[in-house]
Amino acid sequence: MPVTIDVQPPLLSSGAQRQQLAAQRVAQIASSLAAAGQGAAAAAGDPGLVGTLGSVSNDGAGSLRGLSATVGGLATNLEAASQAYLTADTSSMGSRGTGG
Amino acid sequence: MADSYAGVTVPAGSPAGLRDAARQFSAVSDGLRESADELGGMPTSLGSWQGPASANYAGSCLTASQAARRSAQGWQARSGAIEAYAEELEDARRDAREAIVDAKEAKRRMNKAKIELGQARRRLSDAVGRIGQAQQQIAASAGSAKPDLAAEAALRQAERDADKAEQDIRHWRREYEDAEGELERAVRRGSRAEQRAETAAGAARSALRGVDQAEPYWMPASVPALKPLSGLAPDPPDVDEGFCDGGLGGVICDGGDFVGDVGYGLGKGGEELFTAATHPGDTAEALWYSGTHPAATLDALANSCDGMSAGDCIGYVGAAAVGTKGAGKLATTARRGKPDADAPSAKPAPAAAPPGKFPPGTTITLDGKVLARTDADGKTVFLNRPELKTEIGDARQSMDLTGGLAERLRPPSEMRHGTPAPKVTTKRQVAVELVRVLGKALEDAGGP
Repeated sequence: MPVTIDVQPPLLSSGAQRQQLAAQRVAQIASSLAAAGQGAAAAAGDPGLVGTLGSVSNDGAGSLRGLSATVGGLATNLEAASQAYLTADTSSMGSRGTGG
Repeated sequence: MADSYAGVTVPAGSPAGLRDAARQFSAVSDGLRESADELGGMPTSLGSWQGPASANYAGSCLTASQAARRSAQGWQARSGAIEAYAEELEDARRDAREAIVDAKEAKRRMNKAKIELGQARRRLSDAVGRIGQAQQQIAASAGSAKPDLAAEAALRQAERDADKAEQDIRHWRREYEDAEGELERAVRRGSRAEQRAETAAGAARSALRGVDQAEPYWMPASVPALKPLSGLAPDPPDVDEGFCDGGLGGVICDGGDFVGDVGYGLGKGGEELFTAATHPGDTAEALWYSGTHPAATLDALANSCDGMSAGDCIGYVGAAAVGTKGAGKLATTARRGKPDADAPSAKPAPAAAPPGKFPPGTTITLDGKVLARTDADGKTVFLNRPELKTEIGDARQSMDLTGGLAERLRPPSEMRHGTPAPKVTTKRQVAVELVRVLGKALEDAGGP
């Protein structure tokens, strides 16, 4: 079965920018989480809970940093795809009427 | 420094600080929920984009969105657990403080009772002494006709004082004992407050761990690793195991470290990608990249047709596809450590080849034909492009047996009578069609 490809590269580019911002927001949330975790650990009092809160917030922040990196990578690939589509459409097949 | 008295210690911790942290966790949850919504809505914000890459992109966005949403739920739950602990801790600390106040009051009463008791005992002793003196005086005057009235009065006063002192002693002894009991109750109340705080902390720990179990941390391995095309993104995670479990990913990941490492650093832009993807004999990175980014690769492949006729374009793209198909076999060769039996220089692959490299002296074959060798340093030396091109015919035939690729790639002018015409009408669709066939060929290459 043939595959139909329909694409508007400018929308992909703008989407990539929004996604990059989304990745940055997730990274900021990760930083906020790490800070909140430190605050919670400092306020916890109970030694065991201090350790649990510390590890939970560190793990969570690390996970969110990973999510941010992946979302950012996806944004980069989206931008690359947009450029690849544009390149293919504008120059890969020669000018109109010259190809077979 | 903990507030402590008479064995009662106010539980450590700051309910206000915990509530502040709980609010921050809740804010984190809100932010993640917004991010989840945003990520989930990304695919629909890209207009009418459709195609294999679009579907993969939508899937990745959905995975990331779900991860953010699960994380949001987890932090909301943790926020609630911490809020509950803050409340318990606050109550416990208040109880402990009140217990300490009560204990201090009881101690004050005990001290006062002790003092009063001492004074009463001294008064009793004094009264007893005076009674004795008065009795002696009365006894001395017993022989006279006139009784010693003053001594009798002193005796009565001393006896009243003694009675009063004894009453006071009893009173202050009861007061002391009562205060002592109050102190014990305050200490027990303080202990219960401390225990309550410990129990609350344990419950909070369990709740946090429970959240961990219910909402396990999502790790980036849930989304296929993405390699930047143009260096815009930070280094993404390595290819993850989930991606390598099967299908196309399984083929691409067969080579383990090889395919993971050679892909690293491929980020100099679309032009280099294009070159790499269309000249697999020049760079091993292309093999990895082509398999993981079929749509982008085929766009690049299509670029290579610039100035060519449709037939040349198809042949050219086919050559690249053959090279890409070789990625799976190259990787399989590396994984199994099987050198090419026909190659005179073949020898068993060392078990500990450096990551990202074939063992030195490995001969790499594609469909039984020598495609490349590694030199003494383990550097892969591919055959040059003309040599590769000479093998395309056989390889195309081979692929024809599995994926019908050659048939689909054959230029329209070469179509045999009666053969279903491929739905290829433009050069663009050549590339589009090849995306699908390439994926199938890669999957086929992953078989035993």
